[in-house]
Amino acid sequence: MQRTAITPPGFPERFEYLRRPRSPRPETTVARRADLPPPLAISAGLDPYTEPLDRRKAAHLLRRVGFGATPEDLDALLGMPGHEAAAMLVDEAVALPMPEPPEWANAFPPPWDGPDEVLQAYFDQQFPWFADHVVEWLERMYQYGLREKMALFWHDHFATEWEVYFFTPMAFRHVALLREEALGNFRNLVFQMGLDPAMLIYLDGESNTGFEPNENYARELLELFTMGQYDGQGNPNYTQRDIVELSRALTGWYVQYEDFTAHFDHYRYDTGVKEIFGQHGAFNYIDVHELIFDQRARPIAEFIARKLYTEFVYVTPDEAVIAEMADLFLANDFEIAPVVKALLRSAHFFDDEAMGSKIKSPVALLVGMLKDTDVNNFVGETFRMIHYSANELEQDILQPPNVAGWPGYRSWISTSTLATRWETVDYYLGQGLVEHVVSIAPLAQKLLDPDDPLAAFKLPVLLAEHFIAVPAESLGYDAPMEDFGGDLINNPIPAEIANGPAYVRDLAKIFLGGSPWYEWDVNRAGSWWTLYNYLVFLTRLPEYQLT
Amino acid sequence: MKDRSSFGIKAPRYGSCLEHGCAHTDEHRTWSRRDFMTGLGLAAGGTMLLGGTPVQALGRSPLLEQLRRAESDRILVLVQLCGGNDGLNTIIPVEDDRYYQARPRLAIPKHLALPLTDTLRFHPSFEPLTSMYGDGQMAIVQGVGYDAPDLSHFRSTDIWVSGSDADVYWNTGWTGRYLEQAVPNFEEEPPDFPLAVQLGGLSSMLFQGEARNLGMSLTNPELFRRLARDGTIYDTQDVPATAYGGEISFMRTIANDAFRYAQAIQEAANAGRNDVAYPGMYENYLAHNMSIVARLIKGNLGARIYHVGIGGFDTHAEQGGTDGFHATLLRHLAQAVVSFTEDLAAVGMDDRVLIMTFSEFGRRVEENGSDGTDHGTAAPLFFFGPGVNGGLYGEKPSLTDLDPDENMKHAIDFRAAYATVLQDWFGFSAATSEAVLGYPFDPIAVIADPAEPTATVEAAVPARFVLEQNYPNPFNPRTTITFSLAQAAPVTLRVYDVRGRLVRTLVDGMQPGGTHTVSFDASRLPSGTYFYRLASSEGTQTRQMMLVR
Repeated sequence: MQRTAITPPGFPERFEYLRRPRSPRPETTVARRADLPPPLAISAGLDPYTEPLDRRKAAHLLRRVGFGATPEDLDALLGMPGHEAAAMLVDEAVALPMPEPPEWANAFPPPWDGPDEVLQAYFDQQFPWFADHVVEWLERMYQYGLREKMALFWHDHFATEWEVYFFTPMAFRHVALLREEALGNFRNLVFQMGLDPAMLIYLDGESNTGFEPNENYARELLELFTMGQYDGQGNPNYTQRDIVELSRALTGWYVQYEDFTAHFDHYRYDTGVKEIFGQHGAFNYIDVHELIFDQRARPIAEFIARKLYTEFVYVTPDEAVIAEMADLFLANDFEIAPVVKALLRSAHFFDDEAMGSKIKSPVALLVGMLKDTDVNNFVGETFRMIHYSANELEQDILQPPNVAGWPGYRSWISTSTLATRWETVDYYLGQGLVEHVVSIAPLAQKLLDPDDPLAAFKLPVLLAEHFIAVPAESLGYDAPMEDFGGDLINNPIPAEIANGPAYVRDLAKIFLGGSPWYEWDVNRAGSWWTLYNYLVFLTRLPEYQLT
Repeated sequence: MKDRSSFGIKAPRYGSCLEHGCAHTDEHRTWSRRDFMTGLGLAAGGTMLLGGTPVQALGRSPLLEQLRRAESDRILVLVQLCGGNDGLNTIIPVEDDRYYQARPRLAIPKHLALPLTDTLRFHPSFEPLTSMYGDGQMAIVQGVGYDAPDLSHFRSTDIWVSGSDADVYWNTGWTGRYLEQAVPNFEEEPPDFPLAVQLGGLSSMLFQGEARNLGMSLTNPELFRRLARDGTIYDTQDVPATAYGGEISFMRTIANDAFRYAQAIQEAANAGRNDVAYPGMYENYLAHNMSIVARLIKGNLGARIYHVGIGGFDTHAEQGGTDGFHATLLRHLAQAVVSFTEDLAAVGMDDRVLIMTFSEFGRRVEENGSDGTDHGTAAPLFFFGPGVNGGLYGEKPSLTDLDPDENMKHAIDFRAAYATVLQDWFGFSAATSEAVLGYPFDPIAVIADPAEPTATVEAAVPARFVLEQNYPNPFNPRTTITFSLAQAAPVTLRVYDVRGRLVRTLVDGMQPGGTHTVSFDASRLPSGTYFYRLASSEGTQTRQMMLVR
């Protein structure tokens, strides 16, 4: 009894092909908590990190808060106390105005009984609109960082698939909600999410009626969206009866296809008394949202705190920090920004142990690569290609695999996707060079005074630390054994380099590829080859996949 | 999770709830694609990638097996003398008074140099090579260089490895372009062994082709040792006991598995062995690296080209004459070449291997004030091996008719040496050689037994039957596809989507010989990867393109 979501009342049979039932999918295992590594060995909690930021900590903040850092972004934060820099970035994200809606935002379906060609033309439009919408979102991620990262975080949390609801103006409404409440109020976000047309369709809210209840949304509302099956002590947060009763209370809502809005139809609503969390009443949509947040406030606060922690710090939550975050979440009536800010400005977040401990998602990898290479001269297609590449790397934006979102963490990495990551980054670096989109020389000039007499030694280290989250001395590679090229009698390796740490010399040898250190000049025509080649080396290091 | 149907509820849509698992449409897509690829005669497994490179281990195809195993396969070992070798003190013009006037402190006295011809003698460090020369296994090409020489190490090295003119910036290497021509099916049938191997920290532009780098680099003997022993690139054990350590260990484990040449290197390293004693690693690093090359060649790795280097030729100071830095470097070179050739000769493989040296430039005629020589131009280049027609080629550059920078004028363009390798050693046609080098160059007659253009694998796909990569790529919505036919033939050129469905037939019918360009308009097609396949009586080729909108 499959029913397609895109079938509005009176949907003409001649568009039957648009009903796209899916092939059965085999079971997969979602990583259980038992599979996860132990939490980070960090004693600090949410107390603010007051140290002035050096390059590494500033880069850590910018990579985790957003998608990466240009040299200017880094310079702006250097020396600022860590907690102030983090708070500033969160405040900026909160204050970010919403973008103008696309011109098709209110392009609603033509009458269903109209001519085929008109309907067909409308359906055909959904595809380019969808691509444009994702591309615009990616551009905003690149440009604005945290606010859009949070929107993507909530997209992963409240996962829906465009392929199911199909109408791209609905995707726009859905993303607008995620973006509007990205750092707003979680209680409000949940309330609105249940009335979001895309969600009403995706999780069968609109077919959940008093006559024929459908508990799909009610279950995920509790299990995935708010509290999880168990609380921190392992006690169940709800029973199956709670779900059935909750689904009754959520009845009555449907999507009006004429303008893609949610409407309440009393006829579809189950007016009876429900029993939820031991409370009795003729609860409706509004009532149960209050009930959920009143009765299960602590489990909700902890559940969301864990998810935020996993997003920003490490895959395995630190329960002491979670407790602090949950306290804060409750004290602020589920306002998201204060919790995010408290985490990002904390000594816990800035601890060395947290650095380089996260596996980059495909979007983090790709948008981060653009950010790190300091691309600002995009060709029109750049973000279209990023959209495509993210899909190749198994993160298809607005098309997550299922309602649980992307499994993330180590599931991002397989021999296939890792090799694809290498090839993809190589491709952008190489293609960018060819088309003069990625110009690495200006990046090198920003990182280091081109006239620095030790540029051949300093630049490789600076580039390594610009691209990779862990210290350059910890990188795992096999250094050439040969001595430096060139005439080392007239141009001996400067004492501070010769007597300094070996990794500086090793990286310089890889960077120079046998050419003499004293001839290195970023302004020389053709210097891009040396830089490109070194970036390929860096981005192929397994360390590059971590942040 | 509980069975929802027990509550009398309609089955939810697949994919819209957790139990249905994740990413199965992708799984499905992969499988369809794989089936399709098999049907087209492409790789039997693996994952197609952006730009079309499957990187997983792939099923071995007959062509690749042929490439790898053919007894007739010829191998090139490039020995780079990094820093600019002083040609005048390598092959010494003992009868030229100008040489002795210009180099009062560095000149090699005639009586200490080793006989070569009436007017030329070897540096005494080349003593090990004199018997090779006597056996006709060493060719010396004099006065090699290029017009408008650049005296920057970086730039001149780039010119030598790319094969470009001095005023042109290429970002591909001449051997990379050679390999792309030699293995036109690389995209569809990427070999599971590296086509080219570099040892040490040298510029990797040499193996860079238009589409990808076709070689791999063994930067360090430890990496070789680890590959030979464990087949791994990265150490997964020596990681810090931190959260990062756990993740990097995981990442390196996957990276080791993803590196598709690891197994081939390991197999070759274990199948090959050295039959002569080489100088020690710290005594003669070039010789040590060449011992690894010999082991890989004897283990039938399948690589066509090896690139090794020896640094230190930038002898601005204390260069020395019969002793000193330069003498040591030349001795290392001579020892390495002789040991390597003997090692291969022990199993009769030496006649398959050609050694060619190169250096970014020569050195100034006049010695400088610090017992050294400054950057120069024309210099000799050496070929070694039983396949060589031994002897002296080219003219000794004049020491008096100099360029405005007081440097010698070259008589032979360095790319003539490359054309020699491409045509007479590897058996490319003059036209293909020209395609690789940008100009027609006449080969120098240093190869004793020039390969017939049909003797190599090239014959499997005639040189003129070529399906080129579409341009632009990725594209939106139009792109052009170029193909060449050796002669008139019935041809089809068809475009398929990733699921193997025919989307468009671009050409179907008799086509004249020559180059054809076809435009493909994908206006009404969704973004994604497409294949285009050219079929004619001359063969079949398939390439991949990407529509991005």
